[in-house]
Amino acid sequence: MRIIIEEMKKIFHPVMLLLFLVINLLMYYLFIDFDITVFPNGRPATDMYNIGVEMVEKYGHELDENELKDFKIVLQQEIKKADQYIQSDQEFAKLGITSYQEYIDMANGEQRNEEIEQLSSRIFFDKGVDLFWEIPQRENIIEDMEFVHERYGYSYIEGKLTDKQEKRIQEIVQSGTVDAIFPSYPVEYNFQTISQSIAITILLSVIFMISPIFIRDYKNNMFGLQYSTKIGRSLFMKKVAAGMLSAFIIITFLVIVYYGLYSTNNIGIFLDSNINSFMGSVYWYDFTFLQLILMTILFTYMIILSMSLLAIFVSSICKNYISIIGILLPLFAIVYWQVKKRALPLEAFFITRSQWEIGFIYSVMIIIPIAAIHWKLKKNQSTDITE
Amino acid sequence: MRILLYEIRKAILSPVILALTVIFLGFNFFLIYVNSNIKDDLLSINQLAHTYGTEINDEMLQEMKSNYEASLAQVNDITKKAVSKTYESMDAFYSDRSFYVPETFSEEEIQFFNYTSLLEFYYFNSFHLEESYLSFDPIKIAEYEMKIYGISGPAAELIRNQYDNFVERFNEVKDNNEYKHLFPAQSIWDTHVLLFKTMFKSLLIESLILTVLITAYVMNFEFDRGTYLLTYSSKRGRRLWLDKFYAALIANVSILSILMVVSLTVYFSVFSYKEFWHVPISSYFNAGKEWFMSWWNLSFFDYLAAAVILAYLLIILFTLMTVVLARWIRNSYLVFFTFLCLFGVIFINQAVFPSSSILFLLGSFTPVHLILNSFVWFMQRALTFTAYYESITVLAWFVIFLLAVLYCANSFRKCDLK
Repeated sequence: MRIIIEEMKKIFHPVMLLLFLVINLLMYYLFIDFDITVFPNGRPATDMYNIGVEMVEKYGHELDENELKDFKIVLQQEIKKADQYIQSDQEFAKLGITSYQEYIDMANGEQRNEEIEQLSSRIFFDKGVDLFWEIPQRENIIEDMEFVHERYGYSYIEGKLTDKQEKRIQEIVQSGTVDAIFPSYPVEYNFQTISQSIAITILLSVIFMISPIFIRDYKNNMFGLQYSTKIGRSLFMKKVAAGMLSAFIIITFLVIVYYGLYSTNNIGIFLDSNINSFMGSVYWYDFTFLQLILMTILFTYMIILSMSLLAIFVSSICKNYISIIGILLPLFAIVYWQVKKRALPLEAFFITRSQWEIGFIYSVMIIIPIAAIHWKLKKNQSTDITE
Repeated sequence: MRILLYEIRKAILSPVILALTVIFLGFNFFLIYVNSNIKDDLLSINQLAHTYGTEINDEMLQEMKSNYEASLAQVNDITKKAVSKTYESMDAFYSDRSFYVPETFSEEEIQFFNYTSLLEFYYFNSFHLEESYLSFDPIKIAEYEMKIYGISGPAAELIRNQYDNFVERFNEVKDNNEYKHLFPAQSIWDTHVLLFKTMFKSLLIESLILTVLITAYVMNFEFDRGTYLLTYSSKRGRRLWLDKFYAALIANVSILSILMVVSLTVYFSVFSYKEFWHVPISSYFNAGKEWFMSWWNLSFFDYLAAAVILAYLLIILFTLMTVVLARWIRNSYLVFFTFLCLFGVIFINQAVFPSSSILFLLGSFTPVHLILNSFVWFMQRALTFTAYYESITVLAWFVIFLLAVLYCANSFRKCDLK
């Protein structure tokens, strides 16, 4: 244990810690900051978010038939308010508009109407009247709910569904899971980008910190000394353990920091909502948003620990720093691409994603580094000390 | 001389550098491959340009018109027979959804249709060229961009002071008919972005990575290997540092050349530019979302050459930067990551300044911004308000880093090796 601690002290060298801090500040500023400070991002994202909050507060995490009726009543009230707004507004009066419906008919009319367009732009962008932003969103939500049997799950899948996908969609609709209130736009979208950025940031930080683990000893000609001590060649596994433990500590620290920052996005109210909501997409498993976040963190751990083990292996076979960077760079690019495209739960559990593919990717991620370290361990036990 | 050669060999023949070069080349080929769907279209455009010449004038328009009308008549003959309908334009033909084109017509006919619609596209656009070009207004664009980026105060003043130059150049392009040339239209084929953004940016980033690796490797070789006490006390002594410096420069330039020559050769053999080498880059058809005219009257070939030269200058500049870092940090691993951080810090430097300050504008005068925006090099843009944006940036940073390297070279002669 003492050796492991001493090894970890070497990993957390002050100079490395300093650069670690700079890298994280930069990555935070470049990739994460935006999704935290600017959430919800503009309109109608803000309106969707507000409606979502209102719904959860009023109806709980699911919307049943009675509540849908109530929601429709709210919409009617909103439209009435919009009518009043229109009636009391001079500009509408000038165009002879007396109700919201008339306004919508004119705005969506066949002919382009310069005056209406100018008025719309004033109402929507200059004044930013909430009512006019919210009503279309409420209408969309009601429409989604009413047509849930016909449309849910189909709208964003190209081509034909497989039997399994069809069955899964039916299962969600039949069981009533689909009634969940979860405004996937903007909450889920925001989580998707931010969880990817967090994973990439942590990945880079961890690789940076632990990659020099073996090469430092090689550079200082320590192997001869180390191999002839009482612990001898089994030091290899101790160093691997120290590296993995450090990686674990760094990941945990950064996960707490970054997800702590993420929690300031005020998404707490949706944590118990199911993600297979009529307002969102279809996934293979029934997760609540909280479970989804926890799964994402778990997957982040798996990806980064796997890459750490690989980095430790690369460190043990390289003879100079440049080769480590040169080898890790393409590997980093591959993992980066996987994280962006399919490795994290939101993409991995999406209905169009084959679960075999994800299983395969994660098996590869687990098996290859372990096999590599195992090979190196075996080789290490019999290799000539002068090599 | 022999030492220099050995130093260069050490860098270039290092297996990691070689392997990375090959991977990067493979990646560039991949980029070309995934975008190769436009190559047949480009061939047709070349053919078109060959028939009519690239310069757009009344004579050429007349010829185009008669050919287009003849082709359209032929198309209408075919469609009359097949679906008993005639069309006013190819656009109308393709928007008719009452039949399925590949089933109704033969391969040959479809090819003819495509040719006609291409001719139509270029004829119509060339016909309205003057109007379209005059609809650009550099001042309006500048005001819009300033609004988007929230630029105000002295910074906005500085840009507004340049409006005369904007307009002058705009009128120059208008008067000498630089914009009246055929070129693959950017709204459809996006070749400018493909070549100068996708290809150039990856070329630049790839060779930047190799530059930092090679420079850190060569400069710190003796410290990494623990042979520094030996080598720096030899007869050659500390002058070896200069040899290493030259070796790094030569190696980086060679690697960039390899990447550049191979990738661009493949690019131009896949995508034909046969007729367009001497078309001015400010051609209306080359206008994209973020640019529409160059500050200089450059032909496509000149523009490409200028971009290549600028790429070399940037790589040399980044070599100098890494050399300075490697002088003070004797661990190539840390050099690499420090460089990354420095790159990032320079990239976000504008965050420090309020957007009303002139420093905010000057904050984009860095090699980092240059290397990340290769597709708008030498183009007229509001935020990089002067025609000499590239020259000023490169020159200023060269002066800074040459002085820094000189200082490093001097200080290394007497520094403590431990």
